[in-house]
Amino acid sequence: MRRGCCPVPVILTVWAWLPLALHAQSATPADGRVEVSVGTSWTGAIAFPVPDALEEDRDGNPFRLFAADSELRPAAGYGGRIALRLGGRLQVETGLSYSEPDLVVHASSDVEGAEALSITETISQFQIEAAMVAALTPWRPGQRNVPFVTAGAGYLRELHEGQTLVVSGRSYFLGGGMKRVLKIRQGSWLKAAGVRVDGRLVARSKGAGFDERVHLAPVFGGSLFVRF
Amino acid sequence: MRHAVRRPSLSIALAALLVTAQVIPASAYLKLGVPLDGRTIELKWAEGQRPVRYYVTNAGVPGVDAGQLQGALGRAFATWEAVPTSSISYQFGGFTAGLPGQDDGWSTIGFLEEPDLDRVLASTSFLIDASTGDLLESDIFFNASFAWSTSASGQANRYDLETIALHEIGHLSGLGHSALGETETSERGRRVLATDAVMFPIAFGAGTTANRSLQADDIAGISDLYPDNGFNTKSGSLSGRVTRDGAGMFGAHVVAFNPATGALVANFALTESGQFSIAGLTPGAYVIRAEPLDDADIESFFDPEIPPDLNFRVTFFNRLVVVPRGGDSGSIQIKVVAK
Repeated sequence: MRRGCCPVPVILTVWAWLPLALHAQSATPADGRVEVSVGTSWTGAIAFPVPDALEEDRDGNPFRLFAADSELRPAAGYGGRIALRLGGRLQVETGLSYSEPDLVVHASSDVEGAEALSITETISQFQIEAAMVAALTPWRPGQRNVPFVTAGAGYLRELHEGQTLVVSGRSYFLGGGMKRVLKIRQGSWLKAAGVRVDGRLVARSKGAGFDERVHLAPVFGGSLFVRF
Repeated sequence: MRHAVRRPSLSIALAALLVTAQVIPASAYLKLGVPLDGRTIELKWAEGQRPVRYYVTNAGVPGVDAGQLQGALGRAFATWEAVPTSSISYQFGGFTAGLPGQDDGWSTIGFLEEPDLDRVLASTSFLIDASTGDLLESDIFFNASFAWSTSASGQANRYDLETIALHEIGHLSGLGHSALGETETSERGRRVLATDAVMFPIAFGAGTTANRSLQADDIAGISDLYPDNGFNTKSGSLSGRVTRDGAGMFGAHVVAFNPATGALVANFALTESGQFSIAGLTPGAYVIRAEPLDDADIESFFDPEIPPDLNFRVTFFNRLVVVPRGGDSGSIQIKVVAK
């Protein structure tokens, strides 16, 4: 199966740049309005209630052929963001991420004794998102630790296994985290570098799941950023 | 043919032309077909023959007069016509003194006294154009040896005429039987526990009006035969083989379950290599289950001289199978093991 593009070279490039940046550390705070980051994330499981496979008896009551339930399994993903500091505490950012969660249906309690089975397919999931990030402390040059909250929305594009069927969905999220500036560089076009960790609660609807209801999932991420 | 207890054969009583109707390995469901010039073609009404004009005998039976018969038939025909993805249509031509089974070019529906057919509630026969395979006439008789009812809520100890008519009109339209049902056997024969298709060959019994509504399997079948409203581009199919130790499993019943809708649509592996195809499916991911045919008499589906292989365990395919819009899943292989 063809996979999506891999950002590993980008990540290595950032890691390779960091020691240089650390070496060039200056005592003078630097600024930077544009922030670019790449990193990984982990999305928790999402359960999709699905109907059992049912027939009907002579009175119209359901007769179960087999029981079914479903989930989108936890998955790691990776992606990148670009952010623009608006001034004050606010930052606006947009990002693209990719992951390959397994969609699973657990079939069990078959009326004719079929062995229970977890039936899977791998979903190729792309998400484009936009968010507002608000620092919890007033921004000031040279600040090392920046706690923040964030809220935003995303558009999901999901390819079923075999890439013969594409579905779309939406996500909304609320979260927070911390940015830690590791390096500040004066007088360079590259102003700063650091790490970011964040957690989110994501509400998603539609997509490759089996219903159109809203489902919640936790997402945790870590990334490396540079500022220009 | 609809059986009160069991259905000994799918063999359709063919009028005029002794062409044996048989199930054909194509698309969704079981469709009836006829051999013609070394190939098997779908048995269906040509576009020029639609709406299918039918006539109702002007004789009733105790509890059901000719008007009530026509009313129940009208409701059953309307149910098939209401499928939005099918173009099939029917037209009541009037009452007739003729009887079902006469080769007069009229599709006649009515009661016949058939006391010897003590397990047959109703039956459908066909007159076929031997050069094209097109249906020319299709008659339905309801066995007057049974007690019938057209009551809206059913009547104790009487068979619901609309329910049985709905099944027979499926045959009249070119559909074969569905095996989406569960039964248990006793000394008195099979008893239906549940079904998910009007075209299941065995009736629930007297006193119930269950099965007055078409199910996903029936809708896929009629839409596959007479597609309308972009059905073929909006729906998709899945296909593959059922094998045991590498050998094809002729007659394996393959059920596709859509977890998004709960719909069940099924078909059989209809070749020696165990190939199957299920069409008319809503695009999405499906759970696939293969089972031996053990909930109806084999003769309701297959030529008794070519029996299906029943020696395997009910098995789920281990991957979700994705049905694309307007296309096929690509062939899958369901490996089963002997009982």
